[in-house]
Amino acid sequence: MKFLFWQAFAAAVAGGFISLDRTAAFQIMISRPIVAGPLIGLVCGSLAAGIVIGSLLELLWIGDLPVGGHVPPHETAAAVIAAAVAANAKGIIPEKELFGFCILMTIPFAVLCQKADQGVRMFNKYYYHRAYAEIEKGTASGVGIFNLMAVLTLLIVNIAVFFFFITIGMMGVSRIYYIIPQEIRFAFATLFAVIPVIGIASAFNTAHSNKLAKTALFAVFILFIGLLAWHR
Amino acid sequence: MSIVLLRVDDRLVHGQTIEAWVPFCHANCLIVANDEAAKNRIQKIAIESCASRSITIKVEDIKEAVSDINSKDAGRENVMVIVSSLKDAMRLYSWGLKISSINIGNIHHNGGSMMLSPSVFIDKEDWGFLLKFKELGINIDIRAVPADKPLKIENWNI
Amino acid sequence: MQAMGFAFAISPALKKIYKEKNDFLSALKRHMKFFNTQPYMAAPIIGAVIRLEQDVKAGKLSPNDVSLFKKSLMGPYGAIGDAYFWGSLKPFASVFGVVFLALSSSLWASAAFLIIYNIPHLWMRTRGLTAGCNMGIDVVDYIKSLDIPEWGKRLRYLTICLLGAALALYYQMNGYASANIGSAVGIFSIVLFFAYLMQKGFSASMLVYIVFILCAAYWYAAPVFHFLNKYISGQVSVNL
Repeated sequence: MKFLFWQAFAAAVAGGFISLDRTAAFQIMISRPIVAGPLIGLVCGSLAAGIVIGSLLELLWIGDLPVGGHVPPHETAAAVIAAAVAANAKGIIPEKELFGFCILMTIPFAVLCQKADQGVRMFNKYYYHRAYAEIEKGTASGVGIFNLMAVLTLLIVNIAVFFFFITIGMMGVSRIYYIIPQEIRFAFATLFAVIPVIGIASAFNTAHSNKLAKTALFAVFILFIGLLAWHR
Repeated sequence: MSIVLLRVDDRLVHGQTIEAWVPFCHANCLIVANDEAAKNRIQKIAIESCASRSITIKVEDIKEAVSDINSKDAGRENVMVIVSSLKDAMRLYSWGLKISSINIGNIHHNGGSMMLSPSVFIDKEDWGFLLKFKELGINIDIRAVPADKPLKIENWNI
Repeated sequence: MQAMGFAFAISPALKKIYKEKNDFLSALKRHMKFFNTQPYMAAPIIGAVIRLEQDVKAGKLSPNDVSLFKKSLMGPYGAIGDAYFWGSLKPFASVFGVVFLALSSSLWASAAFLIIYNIPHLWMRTRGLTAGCNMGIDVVDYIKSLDIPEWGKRLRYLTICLLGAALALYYQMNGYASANIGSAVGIFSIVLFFAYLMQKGFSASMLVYIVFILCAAYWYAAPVFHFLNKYISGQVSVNL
C-alpha cells in the first residue's frame, strides 16, 4: 500500500483522457465506470479490484441521467479514484471492507469533481466569446482552435484533480483505516453486500416502474434462481 | 379529457418534457398548443416523432386545442398541455379552457429581464398575465423539472 | 453550450458552399447561435442544414429559414435522443455488461458493453448525417419512420429481464444456495422498496449513506442483541 507516484500519475493521466469522452469528445462511453474501472484497475495492478468497483458504480449511477438542467455526479472521477485506490490497497486490507470503504469515500469526490467540471464549462463561455470575436474580425480558424482549447483545458484540469485525489486516497487509506473502529469496518463490508441491491433498484427505476415491469422482474428473478439451482 | 398539467415552456417539447414530466403526471396525451408549430409542417412532424404507443402527441393551434380538450368524446385521457408563452396560456383560458394550475418551466425568448428562476425570465407583459392568473385563483408553480422545489411568487407588489 | 461545437462541425461544409470569404464568415456566425440537443441526434440536423445552406446559397431559402429549422428540431430531437440513448440504450448496455462481468470477470464484458452501445450510436451519427444531406428537411419524415421511442420502450423491458437475472446471480453469490422462496421474496421487496425511495427523491448516493449508517448502527448494537439473545435463552443472568 505504499504510495507509488508513477502509478498514481499514470492512473490520473489515463483517467483524464477517459473523462474527455463524457462531454468533450467522441462520447463512445469509455468514460462509464464499467469501462473506466477495469482499465484503471489494470493500470494500478489489480484488474479484479477495478472490475468490482466499476460494476458497482455503474449500477449505482445508471439512473442519474443528464436530463434538462440536472447534472449527475462525475461517475468517471468516482470510478477512476476508487479503482486506483482499491487496486493499490488490495491485499493489505480485507477486500469487502476495502471496496465498501472506497465507494463510500469516493462519492463526495464525484460531487466535487462535478463542480470542477462545471467550472471548466463556465470557462468554455470565454472561449466561445473569443471565437465569436475572431469571426467578427474575419478569421474562421478561431472556431477550431478554441474548440481544441476548451478540450485541452478540461483534460488538464481533470488530470490535476484526479492526481490530487488519487494521491490523497492512496496515502490516506492505510493511515485512516487502522484507526477506524471495528464496528465501522464491519459496516463497510455489510454496505458492500447491499450496494448491488441499491444498484439494481436504481437501474430498475430508469427502465420502467409500472406493474408489468415489477411482474417481469420477479418472474425472471425466480426463473433464474431455478436455473442456477438446477445448473449446480 | 382531463388536464393533468398545463406547462409554459418556450422550447415546447424537449428532454425534460418527455423524460421527466410525462411519467411524473402519468400523461397519455400531449397537446402542444402553438399557432406557429401547427402551421409549420416540419416542426409538427419533429414533435410528433416523440410519440410512442403509450403517449399520443398532437400539435394544434390554440383554438383547436381548446375545442379538442373540451370535447366530451375524448374519454378518460390524461392530457398534458404545453404552450410557449404566458400569453398563449391566457389565450387558452379566454377561449374557454378550465385551468386550475399552471406550471412555468422555461421562458427565455423575449429577452425579459425579470428573473423568477434560473430558467424563467419574464417581461412587463408576462407579469400582467401572472397578476391576472393570480386574481383568477389559478395556482402558479415555477419549476423546470418535477424534482425541483416549486417556487412561489412571494412579493406581488413590484 | 453546443453552439460552438455545431459551428465547428459545419464549418468545413460551409467553406465548400461559400467560396467567398465574407459569405462564409457570416454563415458561420449564424451558426454560433444557441443550439442544444442530444449530441447524436445533432447528426441528422447537421446533415439537413448542410443541404439547406446550399439552397440558401442558390437563393431558394433565406438564412432565417435555416435558423427556424434548427430551432424546430433541437427540442424534439433532444427529447428522442435523451429517452432512447441515455434512458434506454445506455442502461441496457450497462446492465448487460454488469451481468457479463459477474459471470466472467474479464475485460470482454467492458468490450461487450461498448459494442452494444456503440452500434446504434455510430449508426445514428453516420446514417443521420447522410440521411440529412440527402433528404434535406424531409429527414424529419425519415426519423419519424424509425419509431425510435417505441424501440426504446421495448429495450427497457429487456433491461428489466436482465436485471432479474442480475438479482438472481446476486442472490446465489451471497450464499442463498438453497432456493428458498421466503428469502427470494424478501430480497425482491427490498429492491422495490429502494426503487420506491428513489422515486420519492432519494438519490442512489444518499441511499448508500443511509444504508451505511444503518449498518454501523447494527454492528454497534450487535453485542446488545447477542446479550439479549443469551439472556432470553437463560445462558446468562443479571444480578441487580
